[in-house]
Amino acid sequence: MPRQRPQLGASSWIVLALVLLLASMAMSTPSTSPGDIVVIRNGTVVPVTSPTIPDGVVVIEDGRIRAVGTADSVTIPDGARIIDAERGWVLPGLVIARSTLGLQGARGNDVDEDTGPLQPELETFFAIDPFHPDMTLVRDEGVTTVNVTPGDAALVGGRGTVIKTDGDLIDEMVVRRRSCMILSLQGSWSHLPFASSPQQKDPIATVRDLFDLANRADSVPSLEEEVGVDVSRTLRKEGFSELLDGRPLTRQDPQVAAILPVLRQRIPLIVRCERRRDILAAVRLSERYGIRVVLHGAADAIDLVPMLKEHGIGIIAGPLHPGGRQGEEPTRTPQGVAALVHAGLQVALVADESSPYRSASLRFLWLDAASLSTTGLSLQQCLAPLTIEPARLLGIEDRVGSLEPGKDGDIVIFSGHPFATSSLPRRVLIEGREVKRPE
Amino acid sequence: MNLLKTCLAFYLAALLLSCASLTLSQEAPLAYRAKTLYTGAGEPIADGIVLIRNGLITAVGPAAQVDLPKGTRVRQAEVITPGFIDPHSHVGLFRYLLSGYGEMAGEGSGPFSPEFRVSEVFDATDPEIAEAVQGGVTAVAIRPGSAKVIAGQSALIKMRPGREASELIARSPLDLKFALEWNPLLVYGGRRVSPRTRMKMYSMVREKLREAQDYRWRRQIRRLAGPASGLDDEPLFDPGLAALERLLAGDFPAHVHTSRADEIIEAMRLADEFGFRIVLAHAEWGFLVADEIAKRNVICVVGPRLFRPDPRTGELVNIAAALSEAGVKVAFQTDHPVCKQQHLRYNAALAVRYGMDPELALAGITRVAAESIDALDRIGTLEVGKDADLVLLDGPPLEMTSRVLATVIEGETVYDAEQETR
Repeated sequence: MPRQRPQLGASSWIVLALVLLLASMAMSTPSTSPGDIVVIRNGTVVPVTSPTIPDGVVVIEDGRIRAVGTADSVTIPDGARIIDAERGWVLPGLVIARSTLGLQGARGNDVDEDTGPLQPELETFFAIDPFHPDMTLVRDEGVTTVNVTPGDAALVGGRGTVIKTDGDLIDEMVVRRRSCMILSLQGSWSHLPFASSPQQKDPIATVRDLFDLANRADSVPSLEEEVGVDVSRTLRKEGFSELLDGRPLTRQDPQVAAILPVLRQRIPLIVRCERRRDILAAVRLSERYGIRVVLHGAADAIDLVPMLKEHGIGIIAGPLHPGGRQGEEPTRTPQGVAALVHAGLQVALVADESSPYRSASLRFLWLDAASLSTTGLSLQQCLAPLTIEPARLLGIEDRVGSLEPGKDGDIVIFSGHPFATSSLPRRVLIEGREVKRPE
Repeated sequence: MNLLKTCLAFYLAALLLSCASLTLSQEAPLAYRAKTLYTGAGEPIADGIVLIRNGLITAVGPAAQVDLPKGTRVRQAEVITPGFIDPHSHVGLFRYLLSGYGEMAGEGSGPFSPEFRVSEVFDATDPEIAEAVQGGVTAVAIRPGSAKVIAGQSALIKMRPGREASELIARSPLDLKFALEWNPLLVYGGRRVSPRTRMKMYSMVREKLREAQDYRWRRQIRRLAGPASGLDDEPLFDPGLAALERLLAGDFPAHVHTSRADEIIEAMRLADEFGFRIVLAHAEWGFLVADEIAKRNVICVVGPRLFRPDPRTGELVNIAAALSEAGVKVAFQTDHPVCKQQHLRYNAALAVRYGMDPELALAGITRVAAESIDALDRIGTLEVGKDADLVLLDGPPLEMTSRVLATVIEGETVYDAEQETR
């Protein structure tokens, strides 16, 4: 979308018009319109979910991948815009299982509502700043899909939103508005000001109380139910139907409304935890309520692999790059992560956003994948924790995470091997739009 | 007989006298004539005249076409414009700037106080009022500060120095002041009280508005169906919820402090969701989403910060010019005492210096400013039936070489440069 950028001191309309024209030529990214076809050819295509194609072609139509294959097997449609990969590497854009991208602004920190233990009704959707400088920074290095979540300071922190890293309006960026609920058994909530309140008890019991309340309060009587049939008939006759339709008079508790999608397995519960005790508590929550649980951190998970596998619990591990929280914890070493992958668990990797780099550290994740390769994992296995696995954990694998027909045209093109230290993406496409191209 | 004659004479004399005093109590008509008359309704009029009676405009047009009643006093000037209107100020509320903040923040009583009315604490002795009329400012919307998410009810003030507060307050409530941005997060979050994040702020304001919706519906149904409604007794009157009820009923708009582009989008989303009208205050990064604002026909009250960098290019952008070029209606504010009340015209001139259309900028301190506070029925343009609020200048209104010669409010000269210098 070309934006107007009026210049200070532009004294005449002609000058202004010229400036705007030039600016829009320089700044605008080609947008896709129906029938737009983009073809990427002459590169090594890594679909991640299928074997690497040495001389591959990717066809994108109306922002979605139409075909992926070898140069001889894929016909290039007439009128297609050709992007020459110049014998480079063609990969899916990275998918991040959890990040605070767009929440750590210069004007306020929107990560942690650490004013009370239970904040399930919060949504990052409302707080993400599309113009946050890290947004373009990480996008230009191939991070195209991010699950933006609240931090770990509250016990129940709120709901995440999955976005694409390109756009001016959150509504245009969003992939899934309510993607997950955050539960932190690791956070600093125990010494928050609410510690003296009656809420201060066993955190798991507090969570169970919330879940039980939501189960009980599942349905809310409509206004019609509350006033009774006779009155509602009179009101309708008097022309007040709109008062009765679709406007429940008894308001549903926003915390209950927020928890219900978790209990109905529509969204996963991401549980920040490290120690065995807390991992077992998360497993029990998943059993008791039949909910989808994903562990984040989970340093002791290595010892509990069979149980986690049995319950289908995935793990958000990492970071493998240097940072404040790295330490020697097993899920923050290539060997530990590889062990989880070999055991058949779903594993995603995230960055260290407690470091001074904050969300900008998402761009280091290519090197985390590179360091995984030292353990003997294949190229696909090294990339999966940053592409298809997080997509599956978030239930968005129909749209992102690999290069397959029907998925979004989110593509990163490197000139060299993506794991080489000085390899940086030359081009980045989001839904077929070229958001980064060579200077 | 003589006695009778004398009595009759006395009686007639008394009658005449009473008639005379009756005509004297009727103000003599006043007229202001200008080489260029900006009415704000249509093109400027060359050699135009405004006729005033009892504080209201009774005629306006080219001098040749306006009949002046006998005895009309006429004052001439180079240029006449409608009185300047500041839709966002804290004049009379910040007399002592440093201690004022606590007052404005409502003594930290929580992030919602829709029941608070600035008209109840307005200080008509604020010396800034007398200074403001020297800058041609005739009407001002005074508001609570931005420390609270919903801070309270604003009021329209006529800038008549030396009069009682009750004479200055022209309309209250005027609108409801919201702050959906960083400020409440600093004030409350800074004390580790909710809201500390935007996430919480939006969740809390939605819950508050749902409460008001609920209150409104219950009261309406109870009113319609009486005890047969099956509802409990009508909810007790709650001044805060009642103010929000009026907002939801469309009686007045919400005046929403926003800065970042995403805050603007979220404020408009909130208004759409709950069906109330909004006006955006400051809207500093509004130029990034100008098309969205224009699409919804939402007015932006820009200032006192007039320039902000585009976060993607680092270029400084003239906020008012960029918004108006995208088709957004723009008004200006001083946010007094952030920028002095008197300097409203200066803000509009700065926007013009860096590319804004001068006529749109003038509208930004007259017609659009009035529209932004729902007061176009009384002020903002020079039209028959409106308040006779006008400014006399010796040159084009947004040239800073032009002096304000006189300021007139409801027909009364509240500032006269000649008398000042005499």
